[in-house]
Amino acid sequence: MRSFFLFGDSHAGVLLRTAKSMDLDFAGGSIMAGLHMNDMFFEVRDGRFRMLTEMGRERLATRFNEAGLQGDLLALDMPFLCTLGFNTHNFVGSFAESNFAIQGSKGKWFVSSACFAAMVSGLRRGCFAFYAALREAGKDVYAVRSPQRFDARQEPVWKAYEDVVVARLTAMGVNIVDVRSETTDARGVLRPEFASPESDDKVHANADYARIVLERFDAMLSSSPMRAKTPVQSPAVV
Amino acid sequence: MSHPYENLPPEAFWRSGVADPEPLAIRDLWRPKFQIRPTDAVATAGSCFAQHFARALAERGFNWFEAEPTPMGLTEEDRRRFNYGVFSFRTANIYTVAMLRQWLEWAFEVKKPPPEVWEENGRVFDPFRPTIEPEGFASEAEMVASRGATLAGIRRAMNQSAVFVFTLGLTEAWVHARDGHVYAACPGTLAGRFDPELHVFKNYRHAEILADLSAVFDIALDVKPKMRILLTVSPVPLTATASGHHVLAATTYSKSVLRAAAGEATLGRAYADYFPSYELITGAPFKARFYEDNLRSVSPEGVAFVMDTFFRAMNAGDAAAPATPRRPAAPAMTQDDIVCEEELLDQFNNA
Repeated sequence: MRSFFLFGDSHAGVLLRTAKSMDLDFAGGSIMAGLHMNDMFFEVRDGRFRMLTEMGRERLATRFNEAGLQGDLLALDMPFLCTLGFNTHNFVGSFAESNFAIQGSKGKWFVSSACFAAMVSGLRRGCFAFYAALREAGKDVYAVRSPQRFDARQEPVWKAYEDVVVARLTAMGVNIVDVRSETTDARGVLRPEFASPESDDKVHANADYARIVLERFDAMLSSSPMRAKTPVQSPAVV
Repeated sequence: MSHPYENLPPEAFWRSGVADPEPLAIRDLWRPKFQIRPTDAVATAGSCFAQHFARALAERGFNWFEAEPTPMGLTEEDRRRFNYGVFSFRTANIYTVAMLRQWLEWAFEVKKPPPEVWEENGRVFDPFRPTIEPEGFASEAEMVASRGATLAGIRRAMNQSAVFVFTLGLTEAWVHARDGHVYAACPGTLAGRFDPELHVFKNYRHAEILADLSAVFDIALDVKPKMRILLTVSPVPLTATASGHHVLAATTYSKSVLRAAAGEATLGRAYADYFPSYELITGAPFKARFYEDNLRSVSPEGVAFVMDTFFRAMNAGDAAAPATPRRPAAPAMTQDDIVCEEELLDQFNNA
């Protein structure tokens, strides 16, 4: 039996590569870009999970085939590690471009924190619905915060966004994998040594960061009342 | 011997103008002083009934001015909960002319808003728009920032609109006994705490409303000399009165005074006009057919009749066939779609 299923957006890419390099026994990976999963991208009909787009169905089928899995996503007996909803850079960029502002940020159109939370809920309804579907199916679910690659001007919106997402997920019983204390500087920004080495990549993290995430995830799995018996199987992290 | 009545048009006589025609076929009830072109930016504010104006303008392809745009991603339900897309700026309903004057004086820094806030269960409410946020604000700073955005929205609306439509709703209000500022609703009803030493009832008189309208016109024209102003009076009766009179008599007083003030304020002013929403709903030929069973809410048929009359006078083509809408067509507005704080007073009715 696989130890976990990785279901993510582009932030899952480095987790996938690092998990492979660590010889972890897992399935899944990056399924689609975050922007394709912000809105409703799946449905659950008669208890069966189905991606709504052809691309989504192909990508998920590929991940199943790679791992030799069969059956339905919601029937998998393993914890889920997800990055959905933490495409924070995407939200922050759109928010700034639209000239909206919250307390502490600059912009023409001020919105209250409650309205901001409603905006996040509306713009990420696919993500929240996905987590809810997993939890309703009784899954042990873990979500990884974004790598925190932002500049100081974005800080209030960035943090407010993740606060809303974390609050929503925590209320559902989703566990948050939070490695900010090990990977960020005094301002809360990802330290340069954990950034993607690609010069044109201003968003993602690197393998060192991913390793810390996977180690934290393993520790959380080990202490999980739901999965205490099946920690991630790797000499590197066990 | 010739006299002026010999050559009057049919609509000048009650029989041919009102009694003989089919009620819905009554025409020429309004001859606008100025035309509003679909490209003219139109800002709207006022009582609950003004929301129909905003919606109809947007749906018929007119340029309804939204000074505080709806934040991206809000669901339709949340858009309504947070009062976006209801009026041109997020003041919520402005029932009295005094309240409109107060908002304009704050926006254009004639006066400063008082430092009053209402706190309840750890949330902060704006005394001058207590229902603008469904759960109140997280902090006083957030409330002040939000109100600042609305004041900026008012400035944008008055600067950039060609036409300002205001629907007069009530003569009754509650004011601060010492400082005189006007509340949106009686403190303690929607939020806040009523203090009989601080909060006093005010039933505005004709002369006071006229003075407030005059001040509103002055500010609007000072900001934009070519601004045109269209006044209407809401045909929606009072939910409750604190005047001590029967609510029917209080409604008659309120609407009569508002109608008279609106009419007088527009006399001799080429830039200001009165549109007869009130007559189109309450007039004798319509025999209260446009009211819902509660004899208060205006039915979708009534709203359509009013707006068709408006667009017909604006030469907006076939009034029944909307031009290309600037926003997606939505189902006809029902009473549930109208944001109406005054209506919430009925919850205190013990009968």
